[in-house]
Amino acid sequence: MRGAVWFVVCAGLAARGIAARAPESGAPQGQQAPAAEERVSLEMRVVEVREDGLVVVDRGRVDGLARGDFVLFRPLGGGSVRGRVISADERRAGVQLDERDVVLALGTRGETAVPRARLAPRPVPVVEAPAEPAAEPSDEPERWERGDDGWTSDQPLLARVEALRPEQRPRRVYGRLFVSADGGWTSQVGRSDVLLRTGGDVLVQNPFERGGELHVDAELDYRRADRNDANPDEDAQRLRINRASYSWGGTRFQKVRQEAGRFLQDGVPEFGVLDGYEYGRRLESGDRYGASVGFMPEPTPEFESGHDFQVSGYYQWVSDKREELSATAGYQRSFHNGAADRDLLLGKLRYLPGEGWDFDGTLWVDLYTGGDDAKGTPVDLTRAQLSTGRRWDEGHALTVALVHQSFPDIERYEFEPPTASRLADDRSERLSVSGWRQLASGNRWHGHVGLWVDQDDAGGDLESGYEWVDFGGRGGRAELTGFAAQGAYSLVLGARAAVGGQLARARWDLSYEVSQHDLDGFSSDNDTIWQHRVSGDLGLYGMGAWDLHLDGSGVVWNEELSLRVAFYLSRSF
Amino acid sequence: MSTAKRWNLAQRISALLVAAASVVAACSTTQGPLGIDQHRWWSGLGPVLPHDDFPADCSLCHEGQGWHTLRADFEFDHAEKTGVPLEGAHAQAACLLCHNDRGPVDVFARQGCAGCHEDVHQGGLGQRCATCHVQETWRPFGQVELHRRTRFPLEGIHASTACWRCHPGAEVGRFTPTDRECVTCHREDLAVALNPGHVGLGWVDHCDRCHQPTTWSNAEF
Repeated sequence: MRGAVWFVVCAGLAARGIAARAPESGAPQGQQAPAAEERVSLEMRVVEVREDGLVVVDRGRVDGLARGDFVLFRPLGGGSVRGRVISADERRAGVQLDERDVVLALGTRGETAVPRARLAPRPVPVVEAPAEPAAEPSDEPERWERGDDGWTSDQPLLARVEALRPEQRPRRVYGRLFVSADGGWTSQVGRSDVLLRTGGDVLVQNPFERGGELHVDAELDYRRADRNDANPDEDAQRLRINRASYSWGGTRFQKVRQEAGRFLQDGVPEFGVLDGYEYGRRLESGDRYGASVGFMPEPTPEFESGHDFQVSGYYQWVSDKREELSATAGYQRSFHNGAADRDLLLGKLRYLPGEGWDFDGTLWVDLYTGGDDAKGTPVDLTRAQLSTGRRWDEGHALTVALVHQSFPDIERYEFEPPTASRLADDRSERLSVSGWRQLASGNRWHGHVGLWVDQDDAGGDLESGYEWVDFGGRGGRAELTGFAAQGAYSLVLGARAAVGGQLARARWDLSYEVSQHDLDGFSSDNDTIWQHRVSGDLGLYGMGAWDLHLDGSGVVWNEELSLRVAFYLSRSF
Repeated sequence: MSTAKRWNLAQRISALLVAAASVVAACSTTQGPLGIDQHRWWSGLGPVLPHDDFPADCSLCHEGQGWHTLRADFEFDHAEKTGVPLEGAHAQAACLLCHNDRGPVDVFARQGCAGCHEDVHQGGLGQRCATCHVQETWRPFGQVELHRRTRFPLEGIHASTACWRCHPGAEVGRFTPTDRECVTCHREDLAVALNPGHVGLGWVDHCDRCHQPTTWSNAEF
């Protein structure tokens, strides 16, 4: 009968997330507490698990816990485990679990309910006034007469936790080492290429006990391309330092951020990698401004530097501390081999409300002076990248993007130099809408529509497909997609089937694609290519710090064949 | 009457002053602007993560005399405790790589990938990294499929050509702008096309009239 009563009490309290407890230790075990007694919830954590199965929690008598109380533990993995307090010290208590074979993890949360009366402040000892006249002052220290003020360990910490400054943090080293190989072969002899890469990046926090960060990112590349009998083969190896810099400041404690060395500019990444120095300052309002000076390495595998010198500055306005809306204006002036080269204005606008529609837009505007004849205009919108999108709670998503680009008239080597006419006329605009619709079954439709226009032609692409989510098991997928594209030289129609799966520590994907390519402008009837492409990849991710990735593809068209395989292995530390 | 008007004006001014003073007082005594509770910007800062609601037993998470070091066996269910699951490589990342002294993690999380990761593409490919990347690895995926959304769908040999053969800056994350004309990439092929001599005959553009995008060796009539 007593057991039945306890079952009812425990079930009722457990339903509220609170376990029942036995009467106070002073009362006979097993008696019911008065029904009208007011109780308060008490949370606790497992701080020790002893070999005999006894669980020690971080609450004790000062928290109102007493021998005989029942505690309900809630392991992270789910479910609940009941236990009973068998001993209670001032600030800790020992709990015996009902199921002796259960082992709780340290930190597991537990709950119980204790009578509020137990938490009443202890009376302050009354110090009676001395009956005799006050004695002469003595050198003895005064006795501490203040009683316990009723603090319990579930209340906030007595002293405020002091913030650790960056320079007080221990030195930490993070990084990654990698090796990768990527190769391609064709059925025609003399057409192949290989790219081997190995390298790594290292971040050292607080290396000199001044709170800064040291960044190093470098890699060694080897690449070989067999072109054909008539062209010289390419065979090159190079060591490239992507980053070697020291940065300091820019934290909650230091409004000024500085960086020196080789690095991607922090304030306006669009201004590129710099061999130099950058200064940035954050204002109380959250706005930022900054400037940089130094040489810009060319964006080629060699990262050759010393030809292009730049100075730049920017100001970023933010609407509030959350930076939901921000606008940035920047200016970069560059010199190529000592001669004035580029006047670049950059504008950025971002609206990131966290839910609903977001917006991101960046404009690159070049200013041309009298010496820049090729463009024929003093101001040219060289590049624009605008996008807006939204994700709905139901799982739907939509993205609209507009991209414009043309060639800037610059001396610096950033791309294969275009002819004067292309410099003047070439442009392209691309508008795209893509998204997916989540269905009640969990599967989804996805689609994409794109339009492009350039100086000569116009075209677009269309894609629509259906995806089975968790196909064949959790994390699996299957997809059927049809697509069409009108490119500058061909009209493409095709379909793709894909399937993938999630293993314990790996993910695999396979796809097959067939497409018909009608070549525009080809002067013979032999203007159709049927192309078959098979691709697959395997990624092993769940191996702690290791990441292994293998992928390959094969393309068959007409009577020819090409293969590509890639391998990537990295270890983080 | 005029006295009443002056009194009303004085009242208004007083009211305005009181209101302004209230706003100033409210702002100065508010715990933080706009309720960003974690990773505060302003001075009077607590630790990176406020500990006010944490259990009083520091040894649950920390070790060492200064309590500045997390226990070696420290575990934290990020999804359960914060509602934000850590996926892919993020599940292995050190806490301090995101939760550090640079400011509120809420602000950076709102910016998506760009909140923590440098944009090595320098803005040239937009801010929607997930179009080409997944959270498990930074190796991009689906390049051939995505290229179909440009003016130059990859066909024939182009569908199996390394990116760096056409995009000189690919290895450092720069892909644009790229000219779509054949000779931009095949200038050397044009120079050695001697049977017949293409340059001498003035065949220096519109290669697609005679050549298919195959292995380029012969014209396909």
